[in-house]
Amino acid sequence: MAIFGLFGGTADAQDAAIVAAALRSDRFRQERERDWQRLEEIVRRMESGRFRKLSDADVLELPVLYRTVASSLSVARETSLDAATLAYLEGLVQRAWFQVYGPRITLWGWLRRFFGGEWSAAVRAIGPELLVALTLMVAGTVVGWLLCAQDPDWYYSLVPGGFQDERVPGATHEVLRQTLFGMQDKDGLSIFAASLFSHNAGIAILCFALGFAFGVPPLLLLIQNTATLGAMLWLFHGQGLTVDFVGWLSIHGTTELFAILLAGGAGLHVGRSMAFPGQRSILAAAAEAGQRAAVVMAGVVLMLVLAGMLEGLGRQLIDNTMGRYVVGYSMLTLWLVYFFAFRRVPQGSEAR
Amino acid sequence: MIFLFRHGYFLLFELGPRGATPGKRITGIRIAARDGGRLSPEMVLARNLLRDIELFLPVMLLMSAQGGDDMGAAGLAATGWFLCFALFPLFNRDRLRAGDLIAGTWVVEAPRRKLEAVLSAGAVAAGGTSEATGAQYRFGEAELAIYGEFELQTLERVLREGRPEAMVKVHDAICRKIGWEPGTGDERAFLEAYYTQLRARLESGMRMGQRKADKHA
Repeated sequence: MAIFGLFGGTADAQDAAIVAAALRSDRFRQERERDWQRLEEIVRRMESGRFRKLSDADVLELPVLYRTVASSLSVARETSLDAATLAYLEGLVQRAWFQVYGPRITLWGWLRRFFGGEWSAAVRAIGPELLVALTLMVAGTVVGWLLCAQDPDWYYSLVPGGFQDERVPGATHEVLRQTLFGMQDKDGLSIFAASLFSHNAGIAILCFALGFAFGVPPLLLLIQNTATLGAMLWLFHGQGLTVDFVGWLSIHGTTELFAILLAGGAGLHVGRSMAFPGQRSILAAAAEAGQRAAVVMAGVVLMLVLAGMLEGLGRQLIDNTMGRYVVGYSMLTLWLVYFFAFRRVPQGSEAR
Repeated sequence: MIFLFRHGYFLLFELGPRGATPGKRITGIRIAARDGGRLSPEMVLARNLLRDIELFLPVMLLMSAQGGDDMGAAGLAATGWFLCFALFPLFNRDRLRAGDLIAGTWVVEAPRRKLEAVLSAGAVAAGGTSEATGAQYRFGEAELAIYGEFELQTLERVLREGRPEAMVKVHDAICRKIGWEPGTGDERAFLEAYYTQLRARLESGMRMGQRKADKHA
């Protein structure tokens, strides 16, 4: 029925109103407006998410009606000067287009695809940038250490105020040891952990988001933040606590630093694609890299939440260095295996 | 918690079949993929992650600077930062914000319009006869030839809005232009008749491949 509507209308559509219309273009409209309104009703139901209320007939008719209305629009553009009808048709065709060709994936389906290989595929795709980011993080740590070793005053400028409680140059072995172990009873600890999480999540998102300034800010951020790490490492090393400090850091740090590494790599990836787009236009390159980096970032947020839990719970429950090493490095192994050994690409994935 | 809320809100609604948050829906816009393809979850994710540095970072900076003595420097930095991203859309052709640029999306107008009534279906329009006064409005070739499509659409808008004072004004203007003596009390019938006959003339021109954009054409 809908198809015939295109070629002059059916007999039952020819009611009294059609005869009354004076203009050919208005008669054209009156013959077809039932199809238009039917499509509008289907689209309205789909937009409000009530797919259950759609009958099979509606679903089957949707593409046919869509083409009918699209064709009505193209005819009307050439023959009608009724601005309101044209605007209505343009809006309807656009809305129907989004329903006919829109994304057909549920959040659940996307999550399954995400964990089932798209995330790790995206991480592998930014591999070169990850290497650069890793180099920078190591370099930042070394620089932080060396600067402090040369002149302890650097410690105060490298380490943000929040960490400068008792952990300052000149602190004794015992005081520093206290900060690593046996802090279960302190109330302030959970606040400290929470502030650390938001601090790190902030850095990670900054690393990614600033990537579009051609990747320079992520480089600086990575160096600056690992310099803090290097400075603290130097402090604890001075009192012979290197192994314990690394354990204290590793239990959540392997996950957290890995997440920051991924975020930095994602930022660099966007920046590099914009600086060197190759054959594509800058906008196209930025969009492609941005989407890939967004997949990585969704995972980064999850990793940071996990790191926060490891830090808040794990580190307090496991109060010895050996246990912390075991947890920290089994997490690291888990991530590495998941990202680089797990190479299944899920069905229907668009990962490149 | 706040983190979840400020990202969850946008993700939840923009991933839905409308591709728009309630605010976007009310203003009649939605997001779409720039290449004309499907809007994927990755795009929605990317464009919303960028909001963190566009908006939340300077706001946080401002809030943390409040109360401190160095309000001046931090406030200035935050304002500059914010302006940098707020003015970003003015410097590219498609008016993209930074998040849309990275995500490969754009925000398009998607107004929901009702199908308006047919203006040329009334008795006035068909015969040019006014119901109120019984007067018949017939316009000659020369009287219709002075206006184009732009004026026709303006007239259509006036008729659909139906504000009496606007109709009187337009009625007088048309009468002056075509050299008729403007009467009063029957403006709507006059305008409907003029609209229908002008449209009939312009549309038959269209079918012949002759279009007249406005009165100067």
